[in-house]
Amino acid sequence: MGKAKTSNPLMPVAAGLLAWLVPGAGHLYLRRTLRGIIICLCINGLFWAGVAVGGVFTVDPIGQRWWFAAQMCAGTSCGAAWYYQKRVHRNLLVQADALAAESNRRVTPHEAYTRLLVKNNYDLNYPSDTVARAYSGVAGMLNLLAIFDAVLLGAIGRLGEPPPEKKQPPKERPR
Amino acid sequence: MIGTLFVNPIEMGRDHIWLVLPLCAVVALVYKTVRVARLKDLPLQVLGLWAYMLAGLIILGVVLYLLV
Repeated sequence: MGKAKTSNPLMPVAAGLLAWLVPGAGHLYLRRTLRGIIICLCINGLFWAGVAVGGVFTVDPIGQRWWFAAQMCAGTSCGAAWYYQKRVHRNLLVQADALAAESNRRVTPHEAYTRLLVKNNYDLNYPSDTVARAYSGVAGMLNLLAIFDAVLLGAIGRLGEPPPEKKQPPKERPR
Repeated sequence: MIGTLFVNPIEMGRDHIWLVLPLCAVVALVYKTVRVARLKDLPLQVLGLWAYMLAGLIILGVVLYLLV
C-alpha cells in the first residue's frame, strides 16, 4: 500500500498514455484499481450516453472542432466514434455527388449532402446537439483530469492507495 | 430503437434540462475519485459536491433570470 518507487522514469509517460487510451487504465496501472474502475465506467458511460443522444454526428471534427478537441481526450472511445462518423460521412459524400450529377448540377453537392442528412435522420438539431456534445465533451475533459492525476502519481512514483492515516495520541496538557 | 442507437439522434423536448443532474453527478464522482484521500469518504464527498454544484447552478440561473 502506498509504496514509493521512483526508479522508473517511464512510469509517468506510460500512466499518462494508458490513461488517455482507455480512461481509468492509468490508475489501474498505478495499482489504484477501484479508482480506475470508477473512472473508466463514468467517463466511457458519459461519452457513449452523449453519442447515444446525438447519434453518429456527435463527433464532428470539421463542423465542431473545439468540441472534437475536448472529445478526443476520451481516447479510444472517441477514436471509435470518429471512425464510424468518417465512414458515414464518406458514404454520404459519394451519394451526394451522385445525386448532384443526376440532377445535372441543379442541386449542388452541398445541398444534396444536407438533404441526405435529413433523409437518413442523421441531422443533429437543438437541443439534442447541446446535450450530446456537452456529455461527450465533458467526458473528454474529465479524462484530461484523470490523465494529469495519473502522470503526477507516476512522476512521484506512488503505487497503490495511500496508507491509512495513523492516529496520533492526544497531547497531554501541561498542568 | 436499439438498432438506431448511437447512429440517429434522439429527439428531445423541453425537459432536457433535467439531464444536467446525471452530468453533474458524473463530474462530482470523477473529480472526487481523483481527489479524495480515502475511498471510504467518497460517497459523502460526491454527494456534497453534487449538491454544491446544483445549488451554484440554480443561484446562477436565478441571477441571470433577474438580470436579463
